[in-house]
Amino acid sequence: MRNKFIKKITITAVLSALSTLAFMLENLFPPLFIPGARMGISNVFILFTIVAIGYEYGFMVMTVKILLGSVFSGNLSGVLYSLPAGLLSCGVQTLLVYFTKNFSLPAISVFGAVINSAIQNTVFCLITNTWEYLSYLPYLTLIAIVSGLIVGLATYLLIKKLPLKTITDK
Amino acid sequence: MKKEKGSTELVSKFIESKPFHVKDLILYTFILCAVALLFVFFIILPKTDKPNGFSVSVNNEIVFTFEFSTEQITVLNENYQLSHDKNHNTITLYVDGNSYNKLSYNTNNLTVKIIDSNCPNHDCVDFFEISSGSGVIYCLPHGLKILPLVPIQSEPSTGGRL
Repeated sequence: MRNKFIKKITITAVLSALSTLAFMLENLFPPLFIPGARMGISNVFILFTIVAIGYEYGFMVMTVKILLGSVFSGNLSGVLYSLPAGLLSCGVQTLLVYFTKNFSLPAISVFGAVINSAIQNTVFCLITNTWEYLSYLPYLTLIAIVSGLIVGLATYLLIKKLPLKTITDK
Repeated sequence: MKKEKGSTELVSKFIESKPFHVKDLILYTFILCAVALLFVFFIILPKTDKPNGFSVSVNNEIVFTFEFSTEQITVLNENYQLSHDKNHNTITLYVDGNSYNKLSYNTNNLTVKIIDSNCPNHDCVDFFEISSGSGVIYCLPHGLKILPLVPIQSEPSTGGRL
């Protein structure tokens, strides 16, 4: 039992590091057409953790990625709107993975990305009192659909190709 | 739920499944409807009057306004240092000490955008230029906001609108 827990925590730490690294690398490139828009490749590791290890570990990976990624990339103000969006997006994806059990990973990822984009945009407007920025929301949602699809397909391939006996609890 | 948490059963289910299910159409339809509504409310419906100037505020306090017709700056807060280069149509605002944002305006097209800044993420430089009454440019690290001044609004403090 204890060994299982240690194994899960160790894998979560590795996935957190990979997610943070992907997040920081992505921040080095210019945004996709719209300020703040990214592909969100780091979310592959979060969705993978939710499915393969457990939702609470997925939340851990997401929190570590946002906190450490923001500190290391020198954009601390980003935590204010990234963290609530990440929490809600993870929550929605967890519900779709564990409760509905009817949807594919790409669809779940697309829905999570759209929720993330909408919450991030709304919280940004709330914090900065700049409701005019909502006019970027339709474009950000379109980018979220494409990026969510890519992240979902990547997670699907990762789950299909990786030797999961080394990761899951059996 | 606990039984399947991160278990091989759940993973096997995803391994055996295809990347697309018929039931996914429910989610995709919902998302596409939401996108269509967003485009209607935020892009198609808002009026797109040309602005006659713009206001620049820092931490929600207006620092100055600029009118395209006269090319005149009206300073409303003298705590900030400004540098206006009329030859290159640029205005540099020093937010505090060394922190700055450089604006470029075009009096023919009635547009304004940020072309340079020393903020950490440079997102403000990537914002679309303001060319209508519904635009906005924001620099989060510097707390700087640029809003268009539209003809029907005489008060500069009200800035742009959606």
